[in-house]
Amino acid sequence: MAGMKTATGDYIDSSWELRVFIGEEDPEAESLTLRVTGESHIGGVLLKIVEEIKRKQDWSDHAIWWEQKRQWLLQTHWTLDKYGILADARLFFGPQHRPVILRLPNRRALRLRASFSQPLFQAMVAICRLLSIRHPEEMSLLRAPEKEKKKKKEKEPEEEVYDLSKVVLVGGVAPASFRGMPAHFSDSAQTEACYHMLSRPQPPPDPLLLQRLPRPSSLLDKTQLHSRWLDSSRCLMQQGIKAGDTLWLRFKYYSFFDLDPKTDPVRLTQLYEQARWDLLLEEIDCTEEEMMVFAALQYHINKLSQSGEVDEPAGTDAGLDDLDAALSNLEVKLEGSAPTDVLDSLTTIPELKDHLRIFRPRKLTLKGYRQHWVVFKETTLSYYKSQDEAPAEPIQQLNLKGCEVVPDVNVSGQKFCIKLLVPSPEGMSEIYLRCQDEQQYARWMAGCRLASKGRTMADSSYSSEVQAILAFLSLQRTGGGGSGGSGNHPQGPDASAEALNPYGLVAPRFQRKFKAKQLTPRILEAHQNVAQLSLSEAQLRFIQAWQSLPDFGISYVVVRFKGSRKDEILGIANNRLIRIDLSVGDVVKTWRFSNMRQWNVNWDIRQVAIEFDEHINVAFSCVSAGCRIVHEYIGGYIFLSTRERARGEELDEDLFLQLTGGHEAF
Amino acid sequence: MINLPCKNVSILNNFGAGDLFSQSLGVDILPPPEPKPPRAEFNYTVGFKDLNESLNALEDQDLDALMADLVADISEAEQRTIQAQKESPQKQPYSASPYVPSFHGTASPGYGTNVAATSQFDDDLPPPPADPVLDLPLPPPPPEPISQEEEEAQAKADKIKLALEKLKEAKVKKLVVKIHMNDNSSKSLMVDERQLARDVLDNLFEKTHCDCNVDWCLYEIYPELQIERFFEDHENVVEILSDWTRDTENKLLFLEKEEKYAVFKNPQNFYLDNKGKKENKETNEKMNAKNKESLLEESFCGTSIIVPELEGALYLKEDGKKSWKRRYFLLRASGIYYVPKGKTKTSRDLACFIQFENVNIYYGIQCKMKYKAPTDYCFVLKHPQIQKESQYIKYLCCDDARALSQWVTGIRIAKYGKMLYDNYQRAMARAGLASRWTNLGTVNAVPPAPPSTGVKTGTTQANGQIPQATQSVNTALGEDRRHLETTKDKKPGLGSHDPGAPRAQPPPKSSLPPPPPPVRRSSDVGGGSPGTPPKAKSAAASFPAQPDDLLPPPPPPPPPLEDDELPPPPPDFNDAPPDFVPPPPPSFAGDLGFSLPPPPPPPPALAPEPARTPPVVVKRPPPPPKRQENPGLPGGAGGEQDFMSDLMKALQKKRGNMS
Repeated sequence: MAGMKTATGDYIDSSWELRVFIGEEDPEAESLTLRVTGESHIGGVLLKIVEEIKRKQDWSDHAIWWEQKRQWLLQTHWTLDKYGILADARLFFGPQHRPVILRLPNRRALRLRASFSQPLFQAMVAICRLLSIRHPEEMSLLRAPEKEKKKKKEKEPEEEVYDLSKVVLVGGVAPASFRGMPAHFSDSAQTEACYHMLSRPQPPPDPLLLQRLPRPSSLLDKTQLHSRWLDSSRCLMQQGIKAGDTLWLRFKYYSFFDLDPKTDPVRLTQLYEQARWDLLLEEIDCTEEEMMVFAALQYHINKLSQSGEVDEPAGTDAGLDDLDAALSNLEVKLEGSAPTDVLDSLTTIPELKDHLRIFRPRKLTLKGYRQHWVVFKETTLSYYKSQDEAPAEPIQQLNLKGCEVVPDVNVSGQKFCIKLLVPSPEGMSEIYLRCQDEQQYARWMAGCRLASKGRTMADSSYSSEVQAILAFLSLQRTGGGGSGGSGNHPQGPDASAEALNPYGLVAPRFQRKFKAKQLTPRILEAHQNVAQLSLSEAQLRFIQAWQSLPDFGISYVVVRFKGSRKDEILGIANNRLIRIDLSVGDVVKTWRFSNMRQWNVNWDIRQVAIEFDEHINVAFSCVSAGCRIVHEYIGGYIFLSTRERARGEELDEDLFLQLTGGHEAF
Repeated sequence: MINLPCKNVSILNNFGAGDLFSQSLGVDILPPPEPKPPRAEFNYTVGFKDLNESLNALEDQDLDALMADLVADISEAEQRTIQAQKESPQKQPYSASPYVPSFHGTASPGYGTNVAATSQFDDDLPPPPADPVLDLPLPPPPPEPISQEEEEAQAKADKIKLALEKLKEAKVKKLVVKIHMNDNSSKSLMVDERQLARDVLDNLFEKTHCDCNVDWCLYEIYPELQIERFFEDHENVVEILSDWTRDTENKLLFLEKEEKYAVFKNPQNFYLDNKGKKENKETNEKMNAKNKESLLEESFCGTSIIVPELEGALYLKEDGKKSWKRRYFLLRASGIYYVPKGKTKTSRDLACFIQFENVNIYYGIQCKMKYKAPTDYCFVLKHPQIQKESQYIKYLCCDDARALSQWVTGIRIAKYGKMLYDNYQRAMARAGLASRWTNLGTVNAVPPAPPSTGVKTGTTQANGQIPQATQSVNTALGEDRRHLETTKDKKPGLGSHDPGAPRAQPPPKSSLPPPPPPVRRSSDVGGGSPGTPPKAKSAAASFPAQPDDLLPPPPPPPPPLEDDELPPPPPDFNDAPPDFVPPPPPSFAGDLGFSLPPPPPPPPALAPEPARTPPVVVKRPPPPPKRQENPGLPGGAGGEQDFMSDLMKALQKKRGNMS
């Protein structure tokens, strides 16, 4: 109807020309001119455009973006008038889904197509579904920092970028599992590799790289990160993101709901990676002892994932297990073989007997190591002057249950000592056992460790313990122990997977504090407590230890409290707000969300006002990050606290947007 | 305290054991009482001889109580042996016939008389879990024995199993422990090495008629070191006590300590305390129950627990000296740290003072006098095995009582984690149960769902069985029972028993030996009631096993049968719950609690039958709890197939492999 003309060529209806650019925002984009009226519906305009283009293509993902208003024209039944579009509007007809590069919590880059037209919250739901991460509400995207972009171009141009941009998910259906991974990953070797990257822990980073990466040196530095969060209620396009941009994907809210190793391999792994990088880059501080535990867990996790001992989530099904049980049951009945084995193992108690050198430190004694005949049975260690005297009373008998076992090893010096701190009613007695070689050491050490936990060498874990110790010794030989003594940067990453560089496992400040050969035994010591964990258990343990740190889960922003003359830090955690002194880092005051009545944002003066029970009012303006970010953090945590197990993964998106959206959202 | 060496119990004859058991059930056996007294004596002497020497020191009333335990204990062992004896006659019962129409002869020929039969069934009910097969009365006419070999194999396996069980039992360490009450009296108690503090507490509840509230605890006192602490409910009592030296002056007390679960009653005092600022205290007291709950949820139910933030200056006694140094300490989940001189309290500067793996926390008593401590609010960290003064014992001193309680509690949370909360919930459940008992007698106390320890035992001991199945059914049963109980509890007063009569023990209790602690798992708080729970429990254990071993699963018995075929209903069963007048339908649950496990679908036909009185039978088939192991039970042949399908499959597979 638009475009009615008189004979002279004048338009006699109210139609006018609308220019539409094809493609993404681009000054040189080709353009079309359409004749429209104010009453034209967007849908009609779209149709016209497609007709005009005369190209066979799937246009279903395309929509019109209004550049001046920074808005998508998604309501196809709206008229141009209703949108207020006039002839001067710059409109772009382009795809709603565009590729972006996500930097995952494990620092790997992944290209995928994200929605540029939906609010980020919805876009995140889709991304997480693609990555098979449950609970997308806990995650969000950050702008990449400027600096890193440059660095990337200079130093790692050849970095591998995983690509999932071709993968299309059928909407609405939960991805089925196929060959132990969500079906959409099993299409090609490439996507399969991508899934492994997502679901398996990455090897430790190169210590040199670790030292180069920026680390926060103060609380103020830690606020930087949080100024970069994108807004959940607006779409990527509105936030100035362009196709091909790099964004960081991170767990934003530190409230991890229903973490389940069976259903959440990717989520668990990425969470572990985020925790690990937090610790390595000193985003969160921990003590030396804690760092050793974290290092030991990383070592263990890496070892398991390298050796391919990944616990397949959808592995053997229960039916098979039952059958096996029934079968072995039957065997027991038919042959009675199993019980005899059990009998054997009940009646024969494994023991160690050997000549060892023993040293008992005492006050005022100059005696050194002395050779003794040592017998180690069950959890008890007895030693005799010589083998002949063995049947008689031993010189001393020690029950190792509950004792502390400390390795004192120097592989290059061929020193293999076990230090035992054995508790007795009178206190702790200290005793050193000196072994001749690695083999002997590993056997005795493993026995001591089991005994300290009240288990005997009959325990099934004995041999694996021996192996673990041998492995660690070889690690020390190749790692920091041997030639690495002088240099602080031992052999590069090309050493075998087993030979791990301890510097890749600890934050750089420990690299400065300790030599590799000092670090290794300490990690070994901590490792003995975690050596039996499976991969997912170890990851979970790592996350738990991370969560137990006092500073865990606090996001920092610089604010200025009403009535105060200096900037302060506001810490936002999942259950409370913390006012922190900027210079000293002391906690000034804590408010809990459970006492919160309401909060208001004055967008004009960038001020957040919060009212707590008993008429406690707090107001502050945001300095380092937009008050939208603070607002969204608070609203987000409150939203997360409303989740219930009963509702499963269903998301109340409206509530989320209500709690976190700004005034434009309505 | 007397150390009792490991002890295996002698074998008694069938009848003796049976009597004993009915006796311990606290049942009035009306008919032939004649064998009873002698038996009791007999057992008594057996027990006494064993213990004679070591018990000399005990006072009379101690001895009585102790004997009760011991006798119960012995009877348990007897059952095992009885089953062993029964083994051979019952071998044939493996029949392939799917449906055994009657229970004819279920009471094996040997048990002709009333009494005997009764005891026989008693025996059947509480069998040790390991060999449940044996105690199921089997249909005697073995129509078609499965196969000779299989039978033999089965017999062999059973024997081996039995032997193993015995080996195991022989290894169980038991201690006789003298526990001091707060009224200066004391009780002696047998504690076996599988019992947790919770089990012992439950036992004591029963013996002392106290109010069972959550504050009751076992409390150890070291007079020499002047330190003391309460046991956490999950701690293994024998393990702790074995650290005491032979000549120790240490004492074990049974008393109430508010501190034990203070954190769960008022979490805000530990989690929200802002260094005791006044305004906070006021708000804290106002905290309502809902907020408390959410605070607890937040702190204890997340992926990891939250250790209260705690820091402050404490005095530390220097190793081996009597001087005290003031230092700034911080509590973290990984241990106690202090701020070294000239450093800040940021994480990276902290020095580790102690980690909690190998130490227990104690209250220091009168350290001011003994060690010249600045205040009397001291806590002590030491390795549990250290019993004498040593430089390895760490003494710390707080400024006030509030700080002391925060530190001690904080350390316990860091050390034990969620376990504490679980303990508290169990204790609450127990206390709640206790208050509801009154009109039902103590009989119903069903232990809360067995913790993991049970699973462990279950798996290790079953030899020819599929252990998981047994265990899970058992657990399910337990839950069932509990569920039933609650429903029952909600029902208006049953019978005429006066609910007001507080803790009036049912008559049997006082006069008869308390039941043996359940053999199979330490966690199983048999303590609830003297007689019945073990029975129910063991029966429960025995049922699930049946599917595996008993090839022809007998279909649910036609109710009339029992009357004809079975020995006259043993009077004691009727009477067992004296408060129970004819159980009206709703009380059905009560029956379960008392005598038999709720009929898990398949087995109901068996053992329980004879003991049942008609009314009970009617109610017998309640909706069976869903259970995977035996989906098809109620249906005769069809059910049986289902029920054995895994075995059949296994067989087929096996054959396939061989051919």
